[in-house]
Amino acid sequence: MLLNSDIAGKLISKGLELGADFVDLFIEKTQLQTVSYKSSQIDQVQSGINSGIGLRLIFGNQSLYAHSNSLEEKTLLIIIENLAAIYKCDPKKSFTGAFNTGSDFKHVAAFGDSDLSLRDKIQHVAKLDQLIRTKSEKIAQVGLNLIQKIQEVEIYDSLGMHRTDKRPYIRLAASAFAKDGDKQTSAFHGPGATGGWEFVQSLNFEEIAEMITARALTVLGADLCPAGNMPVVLENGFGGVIFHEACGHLLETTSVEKKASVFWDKKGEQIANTAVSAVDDGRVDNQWGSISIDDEGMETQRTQLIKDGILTNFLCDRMGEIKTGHPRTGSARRQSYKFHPASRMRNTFIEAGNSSREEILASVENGLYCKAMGGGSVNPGTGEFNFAVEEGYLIKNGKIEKPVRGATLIGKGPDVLMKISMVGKDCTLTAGMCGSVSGSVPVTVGQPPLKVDDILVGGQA
Amino acid sequence: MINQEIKQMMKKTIDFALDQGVGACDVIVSRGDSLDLKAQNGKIDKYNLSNSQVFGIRIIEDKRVGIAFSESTDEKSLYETVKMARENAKTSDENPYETIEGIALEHIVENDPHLLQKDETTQDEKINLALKLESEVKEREPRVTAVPYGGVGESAYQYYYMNSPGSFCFQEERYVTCSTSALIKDGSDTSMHYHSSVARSFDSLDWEVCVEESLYHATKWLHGQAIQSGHYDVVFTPDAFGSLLSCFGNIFSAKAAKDKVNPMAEKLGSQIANKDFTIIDSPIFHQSFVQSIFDDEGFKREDLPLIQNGVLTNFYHNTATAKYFGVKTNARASRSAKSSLGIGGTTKVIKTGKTTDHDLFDGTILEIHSMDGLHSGTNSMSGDFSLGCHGYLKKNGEIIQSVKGITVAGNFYKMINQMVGIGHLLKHNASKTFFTPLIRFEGLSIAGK
Repeated sequence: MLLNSDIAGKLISKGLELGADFVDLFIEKTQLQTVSYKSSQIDQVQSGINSGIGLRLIFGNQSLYAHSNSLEEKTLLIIIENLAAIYKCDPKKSFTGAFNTGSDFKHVAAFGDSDLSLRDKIQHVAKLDQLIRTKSEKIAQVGLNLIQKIQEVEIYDSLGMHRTDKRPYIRLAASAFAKDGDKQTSAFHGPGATGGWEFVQSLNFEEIAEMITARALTVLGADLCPAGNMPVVLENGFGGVIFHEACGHLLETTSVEKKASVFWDKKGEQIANTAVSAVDDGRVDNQWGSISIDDEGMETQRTQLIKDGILTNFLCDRMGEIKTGHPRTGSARRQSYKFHPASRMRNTFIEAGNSSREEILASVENGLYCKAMGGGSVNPGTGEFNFAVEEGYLIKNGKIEKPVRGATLIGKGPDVLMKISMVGKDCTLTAGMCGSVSGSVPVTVGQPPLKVDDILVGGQA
Repeated sequence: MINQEIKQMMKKTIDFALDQGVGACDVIVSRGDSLDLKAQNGKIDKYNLSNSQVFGIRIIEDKRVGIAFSESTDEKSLYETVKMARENAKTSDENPYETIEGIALEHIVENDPHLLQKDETTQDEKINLALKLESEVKEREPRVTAVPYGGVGESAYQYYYMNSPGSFCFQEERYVTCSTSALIKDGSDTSMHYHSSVARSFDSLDWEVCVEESLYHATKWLHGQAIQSGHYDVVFTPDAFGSLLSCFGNIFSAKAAKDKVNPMAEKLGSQIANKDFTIIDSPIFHQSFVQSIFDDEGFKREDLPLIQNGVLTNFYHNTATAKYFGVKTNARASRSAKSSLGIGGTTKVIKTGKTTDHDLFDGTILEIHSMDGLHSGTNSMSGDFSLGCHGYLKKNGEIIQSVKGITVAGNFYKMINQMVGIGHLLKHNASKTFFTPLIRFEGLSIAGK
């Protein structure tokens, strides 16, 4: 227990006495360890503990939030008084004093670890460095980061809910830098999971080395991508960033509640091509974006966002529910206790369709094949998004032709969703980090291979 | 002002580490308090108060570096943090370059009126400002459907540095911000723009400019169109150019050069930019919003020319990179309580040229105001960039079209050789941390219609 339940009860009672309709507490202790491996040696080993509490008071549909490193009762009571001063009124509710401590939720993260020392773990990771370096003499540098985090959270609210959870995260981020004369470039791959060391042991280093080296070398020798509107085929896995940016952010009630999403009033309407069905699922075992309970203590769920092109649900947290009336979906997330919770994506993907990869490619006369995507961003209010192509190839007469570099895809979410005309069969998920109003949180994106009939490709005019 | 309890706690921790056999160590403590207010539909929608403190230690033991941090600062936690750092050092490889040595230095920036100003603004006045930022935007333009981003913020920050040779540094500052945005809809066209202001006191905040700029650009871009694909001469606003330059900041990093990820590592002393291009890193530039008198190893900073007349003249160094390259540190060490030793710059100032605005905007140019996807659409190794952007097509200085739905692409390292005019007036970004004249770049690739 991170915070004594008696103290939690006193804090919540105080908030309600001062007129709040709802009070919740989010207590966190996170142990973090990162190892940086560079130039074939250990560059840095670093560890630390983040700890503190976030306190929220809701008055009507207004939210007041504070956070502190201190867990002292006296300090926290003063913070609640200061917070409540802005809307202080006669009490409307009282706290029963009892908490319902539940643990009957699905645990999405296996808590495995090994007896290996950190030094032994680093020696294992170092094999990837060596494998990448042996693939080509043009590999000038390899950078590896091993990140392990255990986030313990405890959540209390004025409805008597009390939940605790322990969330283990592990990620191995690899970068390869290639050089050929004056030409230089880099490639990145960063698999991650909720779990322990066994995840890294399960990775196929040979495949990763092959893939990351090939990507760096392909881009190194590629010509600039021609610019213009054209059909685009997006490969599975991180290609799903298109849905994350073009649609996912626009379905978070954080934007919907402010009418700052072009989809705010489109529930039940056709917003995508009928080939598109999409899901945000927090329950997938050991996935990087999975959570057993959200940061408001609600058990997470699988949320069907779009079914056959129809918008079926938004991603909703408590404030989203209060302001929009849409039901909560176990999607309240935050980087740490320093952030107010907000509706955020978890593992978001387009579901498998009926087309084979060969059929999709064969349907394109002149276009772009995006084998690997970089990151992107979106303006939810206008739906304008952009994302970078990390490894791309031109398609001519249905065949993948020469590689190209420096391509960016831009467009408007609503337009692009309507132009996804073919969806492949094999959906895979890829880890990433998503930054938004409640900080940076782990997410996965995913999709099968798919075709967008027409999109603006930025490159060489 | 300096909290003597924190200073004593730092000293006690260092003494404890040395008693344990640590060769040398330094400690950073940062403390902050902030307030963040947001309005929505005429009411205060978000009211966030924060109070934070973090303690970080770096130790050198047997030529190995260990780093650890804690947000709990009770005595037990601090000693545990020292132990964690020692364990991390034992796991590390030897690093003969990273040391903590030298004479004891002291830099105290306390009650500096440039960084810390008295402000007696009441909470009600702050709330009223947040409400006004929303209501003014809505009242001035009926097509505004929402003010999704904006509000009022206040932040006070203290930084402490102490090391085992005896250096002690302290800086405190406070700043306030206000911002607003306009989301406008007209038929099927939508547009949004956001603008912010930062100052040392509330009465110096330019809320009126935030409202005007948000509405002006959102309105202008509402019916904006893509232009014909092709090559255009481009002028970036200071905010846009500063953002783009920062994506390629590795070219100034000695650490990146040491790590073989600086594409200009072998170009020191070589011409890498137009002969009229000069850029200086200026830690106490008088017009800058920030002042950075000492670095995160406690050394005093001075102006550092990075590119002079197109020649790459210096890299940023800390003591470790300086030792590796056999030079003296130029006090560009960068380290927070939670991070390892790196390098970092301060205010960048680009020297003005001789081109008048009339000549700079002669003929047809694309003026770029904002770019999207900077974190993913740039490659600092190759110099390639390809980014979505907004701006205005201008003819002889007059706007002839609002432009959106386009991308700008090029190679940054080639682009800085393709300047056809450097303006004669020094301008700055919104946060007053980057100073540059307007610069006209020749023939960047624009994808549009």
